[in-house]
Amino acid sequence: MFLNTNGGMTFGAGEGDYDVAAADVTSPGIAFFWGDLDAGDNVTSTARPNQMKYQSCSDRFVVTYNQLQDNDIDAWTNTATATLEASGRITVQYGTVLSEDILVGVFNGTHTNDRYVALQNNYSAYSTNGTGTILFDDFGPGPTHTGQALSNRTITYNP
Amino acid sequence: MFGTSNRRTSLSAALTLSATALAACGGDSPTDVSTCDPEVNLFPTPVSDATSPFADVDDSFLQVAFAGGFTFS
Repeated sequence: MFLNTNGGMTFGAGEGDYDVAAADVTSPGIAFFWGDLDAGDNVTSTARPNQMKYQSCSDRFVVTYNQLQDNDIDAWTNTATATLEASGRITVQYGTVLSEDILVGVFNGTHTNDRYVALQNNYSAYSTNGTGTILFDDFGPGPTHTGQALSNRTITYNP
Repeated sequence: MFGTSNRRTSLSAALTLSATALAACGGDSPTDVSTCDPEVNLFPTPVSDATSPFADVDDSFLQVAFAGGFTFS
């Protein structure tokens, strides 16, 4: 799997592009808050430790974002802990999420039948409901992440 | 079918493993079979291309391994 610096992850091939629409990402992927993020964007962020870490365990993979800096607006940072289990379940525990022009969801990279869904805590059978489960897609059909809607929520994608 | 994984793991095996490994890494339960590699800090301070394992701090990606596998299906 490939972690990128813009708040997302892909499988099979790496994709480091910023400000993507879901349809732009042609590999299977998970967008936690995929936007235009840059840990080294400014003097403050270059001195802020631990903006992104990961740990691989025998039964799960955990990636932790701690105030990962947005490239466009200095005041925007994003915090989350995402846990991938071997079963395919994905759990994202969000802290404060300030970036608005982001992509959030899971998808298989084909985008032939992506489902744009309302924000809720659990999504079931994401693989059988279509080619993707999309919550926010600012550079695609939308919606935009406004009002810190993701902040302090825990979202689970169940296979 | 999302169909991409580092190593396919059956759902039943994964659920069994999850049930016996609910404790955090390094837990002292005798049934805790989970083991973890050391945590990797991708942006050590100060954040720079030289200190990060990414090729570039901005708009880059890095391949990472998940020993347990992940069935994206």
